[in-house]
Amino acid sequence: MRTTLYGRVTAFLIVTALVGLTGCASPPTREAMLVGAPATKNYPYSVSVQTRGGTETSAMTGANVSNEELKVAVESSIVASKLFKSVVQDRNGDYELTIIITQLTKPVFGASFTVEMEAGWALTKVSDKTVVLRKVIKSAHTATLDDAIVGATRMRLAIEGAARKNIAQGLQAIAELGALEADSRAERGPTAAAVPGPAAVTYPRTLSGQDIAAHFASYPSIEARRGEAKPTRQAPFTLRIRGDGTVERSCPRCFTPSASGSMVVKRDDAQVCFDWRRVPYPASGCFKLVQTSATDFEMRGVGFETVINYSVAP
Amino acid sequence: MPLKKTALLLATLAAVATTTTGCAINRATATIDPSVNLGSLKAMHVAKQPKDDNDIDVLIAEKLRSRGYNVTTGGEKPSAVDAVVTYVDRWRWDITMYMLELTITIRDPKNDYPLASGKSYHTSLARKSPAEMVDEVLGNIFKEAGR
Repeated sequence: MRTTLYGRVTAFLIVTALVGLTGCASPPTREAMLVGAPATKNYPYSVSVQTRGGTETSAMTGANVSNEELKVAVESSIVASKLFKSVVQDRNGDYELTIIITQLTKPVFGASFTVEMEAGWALTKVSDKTVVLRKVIKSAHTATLDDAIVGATRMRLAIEGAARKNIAQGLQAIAELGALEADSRAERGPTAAAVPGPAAVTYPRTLSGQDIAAHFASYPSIEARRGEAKPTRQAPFTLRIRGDGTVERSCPRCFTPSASGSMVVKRDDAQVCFDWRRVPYPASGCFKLVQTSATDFEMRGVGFETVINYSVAP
Repeated sequence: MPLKKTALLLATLAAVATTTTGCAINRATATIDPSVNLGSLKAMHVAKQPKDDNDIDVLIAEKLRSRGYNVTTGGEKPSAVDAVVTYVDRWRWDITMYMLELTITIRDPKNDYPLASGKSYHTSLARKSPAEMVDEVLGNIFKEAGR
Protein backbone atom coordinates (compact mmCIF):
# COMPACT_ATOMS: atom_id res chain seq x y z
CA MET A 1 0.00 0.00 0.00
CA ARG A 2 2.77 2.36 1.03
CA THR A 3 4.72 1.41 -2.09
CA THR A 4 1.70 2.17 -4.29
CA LEU A 5 1.33 5.60 -2.69
CA TYR A 6 5.04 6.25 -3.11
CA GLY A 7 4.87 5.39 -6.79
CA ARG A 8 1.87 7.62 -7.44
CA VAL A 9 3.35 10.57 -5.53
CA THR A 10 6.63 10.17 -7.43
CA ALA A 11 4.85 10.09 -10.77
CA PHE A 12 2.74 13.12 -9.83
CA LEU A 13 5.82 15.10 -8.75
CA ILE A 14 7.71 14.26 -11.95
CA VAL A 15 4.83 15.29 -14.18
CA THR A 16 4.18 18.45 -12.11
CA ALA A 17 7.85 19.43 -12.29
CA LEU A 18 7.98 18.87 -16.04
CA VAL A 19 4.78 20.80 -16.70
CA GLY A 20 5.38 23.55 -14.19
CA LEU A 21 9.07 24.28 -14.57
CA THR A 22 9.71 23.93 -18.28
CA GLY A 23 8.64 26.34 -20.97
CA CYS A 24 7.43 24.63 -24.11
CA ALA A 25 5.65 26.03 -27.12
CA SER A 26 2.71 28.34 -26.62
CA PRO A 27 2.69 31.17 -29.18
CA PRO A 28 2.44 34.77 -27.95
CA THR A 29 -0.67 36.56 -29.17
CA ARG A 30 -0.94 39.96 -30.83
CA GLU A 31 -3.65 41.06 -28.39
CA ALA A 32 -1.36 40.51 -25.40
CA MET A 33 1.46 42.48 -27.04
CA LEU A 34 -0.79 45.47 -27.79
CA VAL A 35 -0.01 48.81 -26.14
CA GLY A 36 -3.15 50.83 -25.57
CA ALA A 37 -1.95 53.87 -23.64
CA PRO A 38 -2.59 57.08 -25.59
CA ALA A 39 0.53 58.59 -27.11
CA THR A 40 1.80 61.96 -25.96
CA LYS A 41 1.90 63.08 -29.61
CA ASN A 42 -0.47 62.57 -32.53
CA TYR A 43 1.38 62.98 -35.82
CA PRO A 44 -0.74 63.88 -38.87
CA TYR A 45 1.00 61.26 -41.03
CA SER A 46 0.38 57.75 -42.25
CA VAL A 47 2.87 54.99 -41.51
CA SER A 48 3.58 51.48 -42.72
CA VAL A 49 5.15 48.81 -40.52
CA GLN A 50 7.71 46.15 -41.50
CA THR A 51 8.99 43.55 -39.04
CA ARG A 52 12.00 41.25 -39.45
CA GLY A 53 14.08 38.83 -37.45
CA GLY A 54 11.12 37.12 -35.81
CA THR A 55 10.73 33.35 -35.52
CA GLU A 56 7.63 31.19 -35.61
CA THR A 57 6.72 29.24 -32.50
CA SER A 58 7.28 25.50 -32.82
CA ALA A 59 7.35 22.49 -30.55
CA MET A 60 11.09 22.11 -31.04
CA THR A 61 12.32 25.68 -30.68
CA GLY A 62 9.70 26.87 -28.20
CA ALA A 63 7.69 30.06 -28.01
CA ASN A 64 8.90 32.95 -30.15
CA VAL A 65 7.74 36.28 -31.50
CA SER A 66 6.79 35.92 -35.15
CA ASN A 67 7.10 38.75 -37.66
CA GLU A 68 3.38 38.62 -38.42
CA GLU A 69 2.21 38.77 -34.80
CA LEU A 70 4.64 41.60 -33.98
CA LYS A 71 3.59 43.57 -37.08
CA VAL A 72 -0.10 43.37 -36.21
CA ALA A 73 0.60 44.19 -32.55
CA VAL A 74 2.61 47.29 -33.52
CA GLU A 75 0.00 48.39 -36.04
CA SER A 76 -2.82 47.93 -33.51
CA SER A 77 -0.80 49.79 -30.88
CA ILE A 78 -0.26 52.73 -33.24
CA VAL A 79 -3.98 52.84 -33.99
CA ALA A 80 -4.95 52.53 -30.31
CA SER A 81 -2.44 55.15 -29.17
CA LYS A 82 -3.23 57.47 -32.11
CA LEU A 83 0.48 58.17 -32.54
CA PHE A 84 0.03 58.39 -36.33
CA LYS A 85 -3.02 59.45 -38.29
CA SER A 86 -3.32 56.06 -39.97
CA VAL A 87 -1.55 52.78 -40.63
CA VAL A 88 -1.21 51.68 -44.24
CA GLN A 89 0.14 48.57 -45.96
CA ASP A 90 2.82 48.04 -48.62
CA ARG A 91 5.03 51.03 -47.80
CA ASN A 92 2.49 53.51 -49.14
CA GLY A 93 2.60 55.77 -46.10
CA ASP A 94 4.37 59.03 -45.31
CA TYR A 95 6.74 57.11 -43.03
CA GLU A 96 8.01 53.56 -42.88
CA LEU A 97 8.68 51.91 -39.52
CA THR A 98 11.04 48.92 -39.59
CA ILE A 99 11.51 46.76 -36.51
CA ILE A 100 14.26 44.12 -36.49
CA ILE A 101 14.32 41.61 -33.65
CA THR A 102 17.97 40.82 -32.94
CA GLN A 103 17.70 38.90 -29.67
CA LEU A 104 15.03 37.08 -27.71
CA THR A 105 16.71 35.48 -24.72
CA LYS A 106 14.60 32.88 -22.92
CA PRO A 107 15.27 30.58 -19.98
CA VAL A 108 14.38 26.90 -20.34
CA PHE A 109 13.75 26.01 -16.72
CA GLY A 110 12.77 27.73 -13.49
CA ALA A 111 10.05 29.12 -11.29
CA SER A 112 10.38 32.64 -12.68
CA PHE A 113 10.93 33.18 -16.39
CA THR A 114 12.67 36.40 -17.41
CA VAL A 115 12.67 37.05 -21.16
CA GLU A 116 14.89 39.74 -22.65
CA MET A 117 14.19 41.22 -26.05
CA GLU A 118 16.33 43.49 -28.20
CA ALA A 119 15.04 45.12 -31.37
CA GLY A 120 16.23 47.83 -33.70
CA TRP A 121 13.60 50.48 -34.47
CA ALA A 122 14.06 52.59 -37.59
CA LEU A 123 11.68 55.23 -38.91
CA THR A 124 12.23 56.51 -42.45
CA LYS A 125 10.50 59.36 -44.27
CA VAL A 126 9.37 57.72 -47.52
CA SER A 127 9.47 60.84 -49.74
CA ASP A 128 13.21 61.51 -49.37
CA LYS A 129 14.42 58.34 -47.56
CA THR A 130 15.52 60.40 -44.56
CA VAL A 131 16.12 58.19 -41.52
CA VAL A 132 14.57 60.08 -38.60
CA LEU A 133 15.02 57.39 -35.96
CA ARG A 134 17.47 54.57 -35.44
CA LYS A 135 17.39 53.16 -31.97
CA VAL A 136 18.03 49.92 -30.12
CA ILE A 137 15.20 49.10 -27.75
CA LYS A 138 15.90 46.58 -24.99
CA SER A 139 13.14 45.25 -22.78
CA ALA A 140 12.66 42.46 -20.26
CA HIS A 141 9.71 40.91 -18.49
CA THR A 142 9.47 38.36 -15.71
CA ALA A 143 6.54 35.99 -15.29
CA THR A 144 6.32 34.19 -11.96
CA LEU A 145 4.37 31.29 -10.55
CA ASP A 146 1.80 33.88 -9.43
CA ASP A 147 1.12 34.61 -13.10
CA ALA A 148 0.81 31.00 -14.26
CA ILE A 149 1.54 27.57 -12.83
CA VAL A 150 2.07 25.90 -16.19
CA GLY A 151 5.54 26.59 -17.59
CA ALA A 152 4.42 27.02 -21.20
CA THR A 153 1.89 29.66 -20.20
CA ARG A 154 4.43 31.41 -17.98
CA MET A 155 6.90 31.52 -20.88
CA ARG A 156 4.24 32.96 -23.18
CA LEU A 157 3.37 35.65 -20.64
CA ALA A 158 7.05 36.56 -20.22
CA ILE A 159 7.56 36.85 -23.99
CA GLU A 160 4.36 38.85 -24.43
CA GLY A 161 5.41 41.17 -21.63
CA ALA A 162 8.87 41.74 -23.09
CA ALA A 163 7.38 42.42 -26.54
CA ARG A 164 4.71 44.73 -25.12
CA LYS A 165 7.33 46.76 -23.24
CA ASN A 166 9.49 46.90 -26.35
CA ILE A 167 6.59 48.25 -28.37
CA ALA A 168 5.73 50.77 -25.65
CA GLN A 169 9.33 52.04 -25.50
CA GLY A 170 9.61 52.16 -29.28
CA LEU A 171 6.42 54.18 -29.69
CA GLN A 172 7.51 56.48 -26.86
CA ALA A 173 10.85 57.06 -28.65
CA ILE A 174 8.92 58.04 -31.79
CA ALA A 175 6.64 60.33 -29.76
CA GLU A 176 9.72 62.12 -28.45
CA LEU A 177 11.15 62.79 -31.91
CA GLY A 178 11.73 66.48 -32.44
CA ALA A 179 12.13 66.02 -36.21
CA LEU A 180 8.57 64.75 -36.73
CA GLU A 181 7.11 67.44 -34.47
CA ALA A 182 8.94 70.16 -36.41
CA ASP A 183 7.80 68.63 -39.70
CA SER A 184 4.16 68.51 -38.67
CA ARG A 185 4.22 72.12 -37.46
CA ALA A 186 5.92 73.29 -40.63
CA GLU A 187 3.25 71.56 -42.71
CA ARG A 188 0.52 73.30 -40.74
CA GLY A 189 2.07 76.66 -41.68
CA PRO A 190 3.95 79.48 -39.92
CA THR A 191 1.05 80.37 -37.61
CA ALA A 192 0.70 76.84 -36.44
CA ALA A 193 4.45 76.56 -36.02
CA ALA A 194 4.39 79.33 -33.44
CA VAL A 195 1.86 77.69 -31.15
CA PRO A 196 1.67 74.25 -29.61
CA GLY A 197 0.13 71.70 -31.96
CA PRO A 198 -3.58 71.08 -31.42
CA ALA A 199 -2.94 67.35 -31.63
CA ALA A 200 -0.82 67.36 -28.45
CA VAL A 201 -2.43 65.42 -25.62
CA THR A 202 -3.48 67.50 -22.62
CA TYR A 203 -4.01 66.12 -19.13
CA PRO A 204 -6.17 65.18 -17.39
CA ARG A 205 -8.02 63.32 -20.14
CA THR A 206 -10.90 60.88 -19.70
CA LEU A 207 -10.48 57.69 -21.69
CA SER A 208 -13.21 56.47 -24.02
CA GLY A 209 -14.67 52.97 -23.68
CA GLN A 210 -12.48 51.72 -26.52
CA ASP A 211 -9.41 53.30 -24.96
CA ILE A 212 -10.21 51.69 -21.60
CA ALA A 213 -10.46 48.23 -23.18
CA ALA A 214 -7.17 48.72 -25.05
CA HIS A 215 -5.51 50.13 -21.92
CA PHE A 216 -6.32 47.12 -19.74
CA ALA A 217 -5.36 44.75 -22.56
CA SER A 218 -1.94 46.41 -22.52
CA TYR A 219 -1.55 46.44 -18.76
CA PRO A 220 -2.97 43.18 -17.37
CA SER A 221 -1.08 43.60 -14.09
CA ILE A 222 -1.31 46.92 -12.25
CA GLU A 223 0.20 48.06 -8.95
CA ALA A 224 -2.41 50.40 -7.45
CA ARG A 225 -3.71 51.93 -4.22
CA ARG A 226 -6.74 53.87 -3.04
CA GLY A 227 -5.96 57.53 -3.38
CA GLU A 228 -8.69 59.32 -1.43
CA ALA A 229 -8.63 57.19 1.73
CA LYS A 230 -6.73 57.94 4.94
CA PRO A 231 -3.04 57.01 4.63
CA THR A 232 -3.57 54.03 6.95
CA ARG A 233 -6.18 52.68 4.55
CA GLN A 234 -4.15 53.09 1.39
CA ALA A 235 -2.88 49.53 1.27
CA PRO A 236 -1.16 48.91 -2.08
CA PHE A 237 -2.56 46.06 -4.13
CA THR A 238 -1.86 44.26 -7.38
CA LEU A 239 -4.75 44.06 -9.83
CA ARG A 240 -4.48 41.22 -12.32
CA ILE A 241 -6.85 41.22 -15.25
CA ARG A 242 -7.52 37.87 -16.88
CA GLY A 243 -8.66 37.52 -20.46
CA ASP A 244 -11.91 35.81 -19.46
CA GLY A 245 -13.39 38.83 -17.65
CA THR A 246 -12.22 37.79 -14.19
CA VAL A 247 -9.90 39.82 -12.00
CA GLU A 248 -7.71 39.02 -9.02
CA ARG A 249 -6.57 41.33 -6.29
CA SER A 250 -3.47 40.65 -4.22
CA CYS A 251 -3.14 42.88 -1.16
CA PRO A 252 -0.59 41.58 1.38
CA ARG A 253 -1.51 44.22 4.00
CA CYS A 254 -5.27 43.65 3.73
CA PHE A 255 -7.33 41.52 6.12
CA THR A 256 -8.12 39.26 3.16
CA PRO A 257 -4.91 39.26 1.09
CA SER A 258 -6.31 37.47 -1.97
CA ALA A 259 -9.60 38.14 -3.65
CA SER A 260 -11.24 37.64 -7.00
CA GLY A 261 -14.10 39.13 -8.93
CA SER A 262 -15.26 40.17 -12.37
CA MET A 263 -14.56 43.16 -14.59
CA VAL A 264 -16.64 44.60 -17.42
CA VAL A 265 -15.77 47.51 -19.71
CA LYS A 266 -18.93 49.42 -20.61
CA ARG A 267 -17.76 50.91 -23.89
CA ASP A 268 -20.81 53.12 -24.48
CA ASP A 269 -20.61 54.63 -21.00
CA ALA A 270 -16.77 54.83 -21.02
CA GLN A 271 -16.65 53.04 -17.69
CA VAL A 272 -14.97 50.00 -16.20
CA CYS A 273 -16.95 48.12 -13.55
CA PHE A 274 -15.63 45.73 -10.87
CA ASP A 275 -17.55 43.29 -8.75
CA TRP A 276 -15.38 41.90 -5.94
CA ARG A 277 -16.48 38.77 -4.11
CA ARG A 278 -16.37 38.93 -0.29
CA VAL A 279 -14.08 41.96 0.04
CA PRO A 280 -14.85 45.71 0.24
CA TYR A 281 -11.37 46.85 -0.85
CA PRO A 282 -10.61 48.53 -3.21
CA ALA A 283 -14.37 48.89 -4.04
CA SER A 284 -17.02 47.32 -6.21
CA GLY A 285 -18.74 49.59 -8.70
CA CYS A 286 -18.10 51.49 -11.93
CA PHE A 287 -15.22 53.88 -12.57
CA LYS A 288 -14.22 56.49 -15.11
CA LEU A 289 -10.58 56.15 -16.17
CA VAL A 290 -8.68 59.43 -16.22
CA GLN A 291 -5.09 59.81 -17.42
CA THR A 292 -3.35 62.52 -15.41
CA SER A 293 0.09 62.35 -17.04
CA ALA A 294 1.92 60.25 -19.63
CA THR A 295 2.23 57.42 -17.11
CA ASP A 296 -0.29 58.15 -14.30
CA PHE A 297 -3.92 57.09 -14.18
CA GLU A 298 -6.88 57.46 -11.83
CA MET A 299 -9.99 55.32 -11.64
CA ARG A 300 -12.70 57.62 -10.34
CA GLY A 301 -15.82 56.04 -8.84
CA VAL A 302 -19.10 56.88 -10.57
CA GLY A 303 -21.58 57.84 -7.85
CA PHE A 304 -19.13 57.20 -5.03
CA GLU A 305 -15.92 58.92 -3.98
CA THR A 306 -13.39 56.15 -4.36
CA VAL A 307 -10.28 57.00 -6.38
CA ILE A 308 -7.72 54.36 -7.35
CA ASN A 309 -4.29 55.61 -8.42
CA TYR A 310 -1.67 53.76 -10.41
CA SER A 311 1.20 54.32 -12.79
CA VAL A 312 2.30 52.37 -15.84
CA ALA A 313 5.66 51.97 -17.49
CA PRO A 314 6.21 54.50 -20.28
CA MET B 1 4.53 -3.47 -9.20
CA PRO B 2 4.04 0.28 -8.49
CA LEU B 3 7.80 0.70 -8.65
CA LYS B 4 7.68 -0.91 -12.07
CA LYS B 5 5.03 1.61 -13.10
CA THR B 6 7.22 4.47 -11.89
CA ALA B 7 10.15 3.05 -13.78
CA LEU B 8 7.97 2.70 -16.87
CA LEU B 9 6.84 6.31 -16.54
CA LEU B 10 10.42 7.51 -16.16
CA ALA B 11 11.48 5.48 -19.18
CA THR B 12 8.63 6.97 -21.21
CA LEU B 13 9.54 10.50 -20.19
CA ALA B 14 13.19 9.86 -20.97
CA ALA B 15 12.24 8.45 -24.35
CA VAL B 16 10.10 11.49 -25.12
CA ALA B 17 12.85 13.87 -24.01
CA THR B 18 15.45 12.00 -26.03
CA THR B 19 13.41 11.75 -29.16
CA THR B 20 12.18 15.32 -29.09
CA THR B 21 15.53 16.95 -28.40
CA GLY B 22 17.69 14.86 -30.66
CA CYS B 23 16.04 15.70 -33.97
CA ALA B 24 18.04 17.51 -36.56
CA ILE B 25 16.89 21.10 -36.84
CA ASN B 26 18.64 23.50 -39.16
CA ARG B 27 17.63 27.11 -39.25
CA ALA B 28 19.62 29.97 -40.72
CA THR B 29 18.28 33.47 -41.19
CA ALA B 30 19.64 36.94 -41.88
CA THR B 31 18.10 40.40 -41.70
CA ILE B 32 19.41 43.66 -43.14
CA ASP B 33 18.19 47.18 -42.51
CA PRO B 34 16.99 48.19 -45.98
CA SER B 35 18.67 51.60 -45.71
CA VAL B 36 22.11 50.11 -45.04
CA ASN B 37 24.84 49.41 -47.60
CA LEU B 38 27.31 46.97 -46.07
CA GLY B 39 29.65 47.60 -48.99
CA SER B 40 30.27 51.15 -47.75
CA LEU B 41 31.77 49.86 -44.50
CA LYS B 42 35.56 49.62 -44.40
CA ALA B 43 36.69 49.10 -40.81
CA MET B 44 34.96 46.84 -38.30
CA HIS B 45 35.65 45.84 -34.72
CA VAL B 46 34.56 42.46 -33.35
CA ALA B 47 33.70 42.94 -29.66
CA LYS B 48 34.85 39.85 -27.77
CA GLN B 49 32.27 38.33 -25.45
CA PRO B 50 33.73 38.24 -21.93
CA LYS B 51 32.58 34.62 -21.44
CA ASP B 52 33.83 33.38 -24.82
CA ASP B 53 36.52 30.74 -24.26
CA ASN B 54 36.37 29.50 -27.84
CA ASP B 55 37.77 32.57 -29.62
CA ILE B 56 34.67 33.00 -31.74
CA ASP B 57 35.66 36.65 -32.17
CA VAL B 58 38.85 35.54 -33.92
CA LEU B 59 36.90 33.30 -36.29
CA ILE B 60 34.52 36.14 -37.14
CA ALA B 61 37.40 38.59 -37.64
CA GLU B 62 39.22 36.18 -39.97
CA LYS B 63 36.11 35.62 -42.04
CA LEU B 64 35.47 39.36 -42.35
CA ARG B 65 39.11 40.00 -43.32
CA SER B 66 38.73 37.44 -46.09
CA ARG B 67 35.89 39.61 -47.41
CA GLY B 68 38.18 42.64 -47.56
CA TYR B 69 37.36 44.49 -44.35
CA ASN B 70 39.90 45.97 -41.94
CA VAL B 71 39.04 44.17 -38.72
CA THR B 72 40.19 44.48 -35.13
CA THR B 73 39.03 42.37 -32.22
CA GLY B 74 39.14 42.46 -28.43
CA GLY B 75 37.36 44.08 -25.51
CA GLU B 76 38.34 47.69 -26.24
CA LYS B 77 36.56 49.34 -29.17
CA PRO B 78 38.80 51.54 -31.37
CA SER B 79 37.55 55.09 -31.86
CA ALA B 80 37.37 55.09 -35.66
CA VAL B 81 35.41 52.11 -36.96
CA ASP B 82 32.45 51.96 -39.31
CA ALA B 83 30.75 49.10 -37.50
CA VAL B 84 30.96 47.00 -34.36
CA VAL B 85 30.26 43.30 -34.62
CA THR B 86 28.72 41.51 -31.62
CA TYR B 87 27.79 37.86 -31.27
CA VAL B 88 25.95 35.50 -28.95
CA ASP B 89 26.92 31.83 -28.96
CA ARG B 90 24.83 29.14 -27.24
CA TRP B 91 26.30 25.74 -26.57
CA ARG B 92 24.82 22.38 -25.58
CA TRP B 93 26.23 19.05 -24.52
CA ASP B 94 25.47 15.81 -26.33
CA ILE B 95 28.38 13.40 -25.90
CA THR B 96 30.56 16.43 -26.59
CA MET B 97 29.92 20.17 -26.44
CA TYR B 98 28.62 21.70 -29.65
CA MET B 99 27.44 25.13 -30.74
CA LEU B 100 23.65 25.11 -30.84
CA GLU B 101 23.10 28.67 -32.01
CA LEU B 102 25.19 31.61 -33.17
CA THR B 103 23.84 35.12 -33.65
CA ILE B 104 26.06 37.77 -35.24
CA THR B 105 24.98 41.41 -35.34
CA ILE B 106 26.72 44.24 -37.23
CA ARG B 107 25.99 47.48 -35.37
CA ASP B 108 26.30 51.21 -35.82
CA PRO B 109 29.18 52.19 -33.47
CA LYS B 110 27.42 55.43 -32.48
CA ASN B 111 24.25 53.94 -31.02
CA ASP B 112 24.53 50.11 -31.32
CA TYR B 113 21.68 50.08 -33.84
CA PRO B 114 21.63 46.68 -35.63
CA LEU B 115 22.52 47.31 -39.29
CA ALA B 116 22.45 43.60 -40.06
CA SER B 117 21.92 40.43 -38.11
CA GLY B 118 22.17 36.73 -38.83
CA LYS B 119 21.47 33.58 -36.90
CA SER B 120 22.16 29.88 -37.36
CA TYR B 121 20.67 27.11 -35.27
CA HIS B 122 21.72 23.48 -35.58
CA THR B 123 20.82 20.77 -33.12
CA SER B 124 23.10 17.90 -32.22
CA LEU B 125 22.52 15.59 -35.18
CA ALA B 126 23.11 18.46 -37.60
CA ARG B 127 25.88 20.11 -35.63
CA LYS B 128 28.50 22.26 -37.34
CA SER B 129 31.91 23.39 -36.15
CA PRO B 130 32.24 26.97 -34.85
CA ALA B 131 34.11 27.97 -38.03
CA GLU B 132 31.31 26.53 -40.18
CA MET B 133 28.69 28.32 -38.08
CA VAL B 134 30.52 31.65 -38.47
CA ASP B 135 30.88 31.05 -42.20
CA GLU B 136 27.18 30.24 -42.56
CA VAL B 137 25.93 33.24 -40.55
CA LEU B 138 28.17 35.79 -42.28
CA GLY B 139 27.49 34.18 -45.65
CA ASN B 140 23.74 34.60 -45.12
CA ILE B 141 24.14 38.22 -43.99
CA PHE B 142 26.13 39.20 -47.08
CA LYS B 143 23.89 37.14 -49.33
CA GLU B 144 20.87 39.02 -47.95
CA ALA B 145 22.70 42.33 -48.34
CA GLY B 146 23.50 41.54 -51.97
CA ARG B 147 19.88 41.08 -52.93
